[in-house]
Amino acid sequence: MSTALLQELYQETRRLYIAGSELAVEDIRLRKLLPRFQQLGEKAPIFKRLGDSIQNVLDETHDSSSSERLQNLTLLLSSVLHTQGNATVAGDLKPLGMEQQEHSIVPITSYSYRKLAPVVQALSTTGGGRLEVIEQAFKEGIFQDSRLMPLAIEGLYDPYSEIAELMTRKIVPAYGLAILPYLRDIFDPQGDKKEVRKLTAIHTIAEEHQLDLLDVYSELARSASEDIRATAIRFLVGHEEYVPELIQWTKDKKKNVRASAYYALAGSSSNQAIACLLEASNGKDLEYIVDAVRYQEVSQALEDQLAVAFAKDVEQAIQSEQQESIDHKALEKLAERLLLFSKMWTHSPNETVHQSYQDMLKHYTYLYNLSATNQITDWRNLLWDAASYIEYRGSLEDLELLYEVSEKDANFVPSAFRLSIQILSPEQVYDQYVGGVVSQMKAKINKDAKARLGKVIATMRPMLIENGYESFSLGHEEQHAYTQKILPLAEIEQKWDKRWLEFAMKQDDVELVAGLARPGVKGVDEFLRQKLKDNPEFRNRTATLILRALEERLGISKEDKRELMWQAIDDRRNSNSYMFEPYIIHSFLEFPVEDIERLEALLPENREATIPKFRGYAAEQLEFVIHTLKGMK
Amino acid sequence: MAIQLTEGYVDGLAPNAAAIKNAKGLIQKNKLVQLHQTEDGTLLFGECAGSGKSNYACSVDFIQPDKEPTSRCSCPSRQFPCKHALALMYAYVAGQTFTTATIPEDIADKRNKIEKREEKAAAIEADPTLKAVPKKKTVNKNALKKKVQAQLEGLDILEKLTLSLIRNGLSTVDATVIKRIQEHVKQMGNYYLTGAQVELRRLAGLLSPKNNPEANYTYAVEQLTLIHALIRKGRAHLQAKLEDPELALDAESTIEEWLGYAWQLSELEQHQRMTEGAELIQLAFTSYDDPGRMEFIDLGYWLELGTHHIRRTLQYRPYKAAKHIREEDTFTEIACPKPLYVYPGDLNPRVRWESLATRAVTEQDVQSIHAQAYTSFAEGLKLIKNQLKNPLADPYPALLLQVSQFYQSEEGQLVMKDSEGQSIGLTDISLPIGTSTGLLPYLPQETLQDVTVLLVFEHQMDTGQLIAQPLSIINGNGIMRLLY
Repeated sequence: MSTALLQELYQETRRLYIAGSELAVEDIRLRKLLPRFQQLGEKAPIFKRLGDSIQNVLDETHDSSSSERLQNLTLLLSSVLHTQGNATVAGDLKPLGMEQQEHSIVPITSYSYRKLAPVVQALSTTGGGRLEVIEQAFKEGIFQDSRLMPLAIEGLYDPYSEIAELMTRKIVPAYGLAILPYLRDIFDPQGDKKEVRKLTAIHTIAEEHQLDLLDVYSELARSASEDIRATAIRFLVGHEEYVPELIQWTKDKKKNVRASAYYALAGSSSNQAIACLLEASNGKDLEYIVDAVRYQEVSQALEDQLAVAFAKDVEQAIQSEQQESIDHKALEKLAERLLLFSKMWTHSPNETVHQSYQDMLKHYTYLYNLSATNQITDWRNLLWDAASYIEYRGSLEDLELLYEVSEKDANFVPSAFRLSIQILSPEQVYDQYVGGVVSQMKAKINKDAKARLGKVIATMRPMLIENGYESFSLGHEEQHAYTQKILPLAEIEQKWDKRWLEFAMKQDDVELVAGLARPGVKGVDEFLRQKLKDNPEFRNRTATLILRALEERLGISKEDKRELMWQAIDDRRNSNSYMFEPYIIHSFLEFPVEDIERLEALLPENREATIPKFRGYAAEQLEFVIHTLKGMK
Repeated sequence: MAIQLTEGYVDGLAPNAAAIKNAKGLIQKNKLVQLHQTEDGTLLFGECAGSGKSNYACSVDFIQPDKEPTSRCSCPSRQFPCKHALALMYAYVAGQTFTTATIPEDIADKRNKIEKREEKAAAIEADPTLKAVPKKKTVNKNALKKKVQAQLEGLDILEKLTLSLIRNGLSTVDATVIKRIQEHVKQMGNYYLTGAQVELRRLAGLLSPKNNPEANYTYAVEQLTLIHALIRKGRAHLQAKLEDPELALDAESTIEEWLGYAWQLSELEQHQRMTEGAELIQLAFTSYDDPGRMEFIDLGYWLELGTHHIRRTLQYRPYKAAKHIREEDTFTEIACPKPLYVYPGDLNPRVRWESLATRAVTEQDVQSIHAQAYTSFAEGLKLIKNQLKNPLADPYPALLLQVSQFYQSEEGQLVMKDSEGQSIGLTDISLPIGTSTGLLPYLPQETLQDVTVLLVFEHQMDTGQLIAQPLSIINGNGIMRLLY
């Protein structure tokens, strides 16, 4: 049967549906088709019927509407075409599926619709909440079902990078060696960043199964696209045989290729590799070298030599003081290099680095003024880097140095103070910073001394009071609240001179007093009680801190605490709390059951006052407390 | 006696996946505050904290061993089992401690009532004369006649609308025209033409300016010819019915359903569309959204063992009620319906049952599937095309074919061949049942040779191609479901 002719007629009728059937009468193309159908109609009745229908459509004098005639033609034609559907596929065909190999996929399709469908949806749509579904499914082992495998591979391209990352690092590699040939088949070495994920997944599988793919990586490193090369080169880390080639690649035009080459070289302990890195560290590639060293364990030799290079730069900067005219441009460059270097030294102790930083602090004034005069802040940042490096590994000598610098610049007081806490006795620290009556007097009148003391107090606060979230259960739901805690008494007694407490009370700083509170110092108990009277609001954290200090440090009885709390609650100012801190809830729960009624009276619905005392979450929390206390009855 | 529960069984009881997740969430958050079981091991009960002050009392009753357990809960959910009851079962599966306690009074009462009802039913079975004779449904013929006339009137209105659309041309369809079509969609309901209503709604969807109508013109033309066929056949059928003094239903063709009739099982029974002793094995399952019907459809493909009949189970879950109807799931046992009701239909008629016995799938069951498949593609395709040429037949017929090997063309098109070397190209059909060809390239070649495949077909008007989508592959290892 002439399917092409039928198809042509169908296209023509389709056009008429779109343009409007009124136009059919004058349609030349349709008119041209008619004789061919009439001719075929002599042999095959179906063509005759179609020909008649076409004629009807073309007949303007027909008594039914043009659209009905078109519908009749199309209905008949559509029926005929449906018997003519072509199912065959021409062209070259190759057998489908993976050829037999050692590790082939054992198809598992045992999970039910209900288990699979949410995961399929998460992997084939966009929108919120997908990561959670996918993570949960992976945990439950649902990804073992082979039907999710193609979607997992698709997921390497997921626009939500956390999902793509999960697929790359965990889910796709979990299919193991069996999926490897397939990944390699569909991996395009000339591809872009998307292909990087495939390669990374391949590498993860190979590592897990101790499969040696070095030949593949080195070949990719030589000839693949830029992104792939950069990735493959990193996988060569730790394999000395590639050092000569890696050195070659550090000369590459593409910077991410160079960065990867440095990374791979930094993992080597060979002299060649170190020499190459050192040489490159003199130039603009220093930033890549810093990154290469920062993110992996490197050999001591490399670190030592980089430290020497750093020391040289520092020395050069300091030496410039002696020169007659200062080359500011050169110094600026130097500062940039030193800032890069300083990222490298955050973790590892190194004597050369230590000395260089000491030298910098010794020349504080000169270096500081470089910033001031040239309006570049780099040198100040470098000096802070120096101070914080020294702070963590300091000796008495360093402390002296920091004292000296902080005399000049109060911004260095925190470093000096923290170091002094580490290496001096509590008495010494106190003497140093507060001292006797004379220095206290001085602090009152001297502006700089006052500023320094302010810095000390600001530094102490986070050391004494811990901020953080605490979660607690309200029976049916978990709540999280931001809260402040104080350290255990023993720690305070061991590390802090008790004169600090007296000092804090003199300063009238209730937070510090709570943080430092200990038995055996006159007036603390009274101070705290008075402060609670002054600040009874549960919506402020101060009340909680005071109650904690009284209970945890001074050991007041539960009964005493209950009294204090009731005093605070009944205070008119203590209103409008939106949420209680967990400590307060726990304290409520220690109340005797006879307090239930009194607590109930606090609920918003039981109060006539215009301002609710405890509303929102606080009301809910209170209800929980009441409910629980009732249960204890 | 201890209650035997597995995680999979509890999963199966859940109305949907969200309920499973919520139930597990309750366990994670320790919301179950009391866990008890009765000494005889027939009842799990406990309390679960909700958002209110008091806890929900929930229970799962296993007193009737041959039936699904009965779940009861004081929560307001209309899902059964609700998340609390599911959580109770998951907690039991997870091995949490259930202390022995006496049965709560209200549950004992409910059990008594059930028992009495069962006794009554047993008595009727023993002595059928006790059965209250169901009142013979008296059909108000006048009312029925009026209804048929209204349907005819509705078809006229529908025809007028579609013909005017075609006269003006689809290219002139704009938001105003769509609004007019939508109004007609509503009207069709008044004329008792819910089937036509669905098809008209589909047309509105295809032509809606939101859905890129140019890309849908081919489907829109198909939809218009379908509506034309529906009007013609519907009209002829209704006129014939008017002349029939009994105004009888046509239980042989699908025309009643096209016009919007919903068969009741008792009517199918009257028309002898019912089989005792049939056993079915599910070959594929899926669930999809049908915006034309405004329903979710749970679709199962089943082979009636010992025959070559591929049956379909169709559960319609209207959008509005979807939350309260349990979404069906993959079925991995042999279903033995008592009895099996078969709707009028084509190659794959819809089936339903009210009660079901199950048994495990045996090796033999799986092997018997191969024998029911067509060995020659030509023969199978003839059958398919024969159905497709009827505009009112199911446009996605399903068939089992024996495949000797799968191939891939250079353009990446998947192809299968029979032993005579005839090929069929594989593509996902336009019905949104999900994609199923993705897995094939990953499979070892030997699992794809000399297998039986369940396929659904579709004729693509624009290309003239007859395409097929594989749903499941049956090989030596069993049924490998490509969908669900």
